[in-house]
Amino acid sequence: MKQINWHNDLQSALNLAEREHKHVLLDFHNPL
Amino acid sequence: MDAVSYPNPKVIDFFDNNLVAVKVLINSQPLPKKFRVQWTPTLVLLDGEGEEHNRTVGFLPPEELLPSLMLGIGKSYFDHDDFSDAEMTFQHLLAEYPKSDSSAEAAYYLGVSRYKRTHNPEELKKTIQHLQRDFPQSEWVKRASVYQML
Repeated sequence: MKQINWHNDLQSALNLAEREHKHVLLDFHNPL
Repeated sequence: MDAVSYPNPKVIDFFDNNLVAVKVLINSQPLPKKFRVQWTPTLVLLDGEGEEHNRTVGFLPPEELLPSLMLGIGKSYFDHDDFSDAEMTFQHLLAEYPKSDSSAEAAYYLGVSRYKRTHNPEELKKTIQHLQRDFPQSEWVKRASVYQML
């Protein structure tokens, strides 16, 4: 089943977003 | 968000096509402090240079999450003087989600983007008319009310 591909490192996310002309979404969440 | 909005197929497709998504634990560091986040869920939209253009706090169902993300992306284009892409994004939001909680703000920014691109004050007059017609209860009617005097 398809799902969102979550990253956990901001810098690598920014690099990928620049390359792919995308934006970055930070989801601040609580594990509980 | 994990139980309802993120598994939604339209949300997954939107993320695939437009976003690089990062999960950040609120009790980790340094990002919560850097972005001054105190509560969850908080969603912060950044451009590829790491500059923030929009944020939301609290749960959003899919039919509000998607227009909220589109609004943020449109504002990012707007902030970068890319008024054509901003217009397209706000138009797309309004076509797909005409009655969402983000729609009135999108209508405001759509008009302002058109004005910034054309320098034609008529676009600002059209903006207040659009807001009064489609979003009469919105705070954005007040924010655009000065354009009636142009």
